[in-house]
Amino acid sequence: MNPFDIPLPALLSQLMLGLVNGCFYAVLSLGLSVIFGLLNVINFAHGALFMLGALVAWMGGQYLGLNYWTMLVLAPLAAGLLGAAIERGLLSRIYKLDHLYGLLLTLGLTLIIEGLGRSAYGVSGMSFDGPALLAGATRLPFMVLPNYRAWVVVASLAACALTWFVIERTRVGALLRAGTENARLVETFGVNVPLMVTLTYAFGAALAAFAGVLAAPIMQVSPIMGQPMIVTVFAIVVIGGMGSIAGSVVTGLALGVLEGLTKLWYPEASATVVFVIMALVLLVRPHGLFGGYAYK
Amino acid sequence: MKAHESSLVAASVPALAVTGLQAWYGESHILHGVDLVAGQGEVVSLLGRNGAGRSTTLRAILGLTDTRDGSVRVFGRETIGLPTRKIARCGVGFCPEERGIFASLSCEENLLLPPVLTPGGAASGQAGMSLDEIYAMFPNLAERRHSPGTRLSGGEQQMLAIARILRTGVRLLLLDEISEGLAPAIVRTLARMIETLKSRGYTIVLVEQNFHFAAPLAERFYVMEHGRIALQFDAAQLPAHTQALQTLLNV
Repeated sequence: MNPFDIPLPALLSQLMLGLVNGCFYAVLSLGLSVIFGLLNVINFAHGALFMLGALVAWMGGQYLGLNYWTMLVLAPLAAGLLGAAIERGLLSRIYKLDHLYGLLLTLGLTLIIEGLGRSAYGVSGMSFDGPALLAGATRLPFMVLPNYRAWVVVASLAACALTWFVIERTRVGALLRAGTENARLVETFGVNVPLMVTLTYAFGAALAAFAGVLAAPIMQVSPIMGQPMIVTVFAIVVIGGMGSIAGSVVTGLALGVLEGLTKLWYPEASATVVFVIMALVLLVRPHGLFGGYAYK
Repeated sequence: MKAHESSLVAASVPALAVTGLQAWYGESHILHGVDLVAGQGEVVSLLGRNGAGRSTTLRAILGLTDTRDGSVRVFGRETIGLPTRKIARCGVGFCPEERGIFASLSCEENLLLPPVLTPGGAASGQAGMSLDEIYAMFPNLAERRHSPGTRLSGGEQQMLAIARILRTGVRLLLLDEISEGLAPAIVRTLARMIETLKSRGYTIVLVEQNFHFAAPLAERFYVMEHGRIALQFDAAQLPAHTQALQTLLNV
């Protein structure tokens, strides 16, 4: 199809869909990046934590009658606690080993978490109602903007901006950046680095769950909803390069949009476009577009 | 002795008392029983050739080696079983040989990074230096405060690495090869800085390969070889040991 044949409203609404997906990619790759920086662990469980965010939000609504806004706070908290337990109980024992073991451990955790979810809820997907406040759409002169999707974009970008601010502009963030470069030296300053590591993993887990709750009303909530997400997000992290916060966010958004536009122009390629770009970037810049930090 | 009492220890307690310290990296046995004492307010120098075990001694004092054994008392408190962060909290500051300036932090962020370890120490006259005092002592750092840490010159990075542990209120400084690779003018500045710190009552362990830098500053010298202290003497005995030093340092 010729791109110029597409009516503007269709183009814009596809752009919006891409942007929403890009927001999920951005929030997830941001968390992966922060975790990898300090822990040197490639957190395969990130997709499962995203799914848990959505599933816990659904459960809260289903069993306890809690609304969306409550679950938007509670689900990330629960995922954060689970993340802290995973780090303290499991990950902290394998830091001296190769990266690969962290990947295997978190992959195993993913299989366990998803398996438990499948045996309890199957894979058919359940619907979760978004907040009534954001139901409907706003008619703009050039397109119809679904309110909930606009909220997803705003909330995701706010989460990314807040994370960026904390890491780049505060004392806690300075400790995190320094710990990412040389954790042993930071410890000689009397800083409790193991606690910092636990909190970082918990924060990454909470961020993934936050994205999961945001996604719950627009995706089918199912125990396997994290799988396609994590695969794409890994490709995005490879493209952006680990270690740059702004890089993760920009790459996530850009590739979400690109994926959306590909659906319009050449739908057959929309599932592969991210991976084609990944291959190209690996050929030209193996460290990724923004991979600037001196990672060990 | 509890940590909060460390600022009130009797003057007779050494700032650092190392006895029979052994250390390993993996399977390699690097230190074979090091004994070393630094009284409060003393500057002692640890000399020796490359590979003699000087840096490892400092790293082992902080628990940075894979394994260590023996006794390391910091202001009277046994630290051999403690993790690095708790040893630091006994009042030790460490300036590593590679300086350890963080590239993703500005000069001032590097400076403000280590937390103050002895809050309320002001009452005992042992508070860390304020940022203003540090900038007065190292005017270059004030000028470069917003530059990324690794854009600083070698001399500035060295000053930053030392300055950032002065803010925290620690009273025992372990300085590893601070004169290494720097221009003579900078080395003279560093020597004046050590004099100033000494006059302020800091205890300093100076690991050096450059004997001429350490000679006028230290009150006592330890010379290492093969992971042991091969020779030790006071500054007054220096002339008598010139010959032995030549052998241990230059051959």
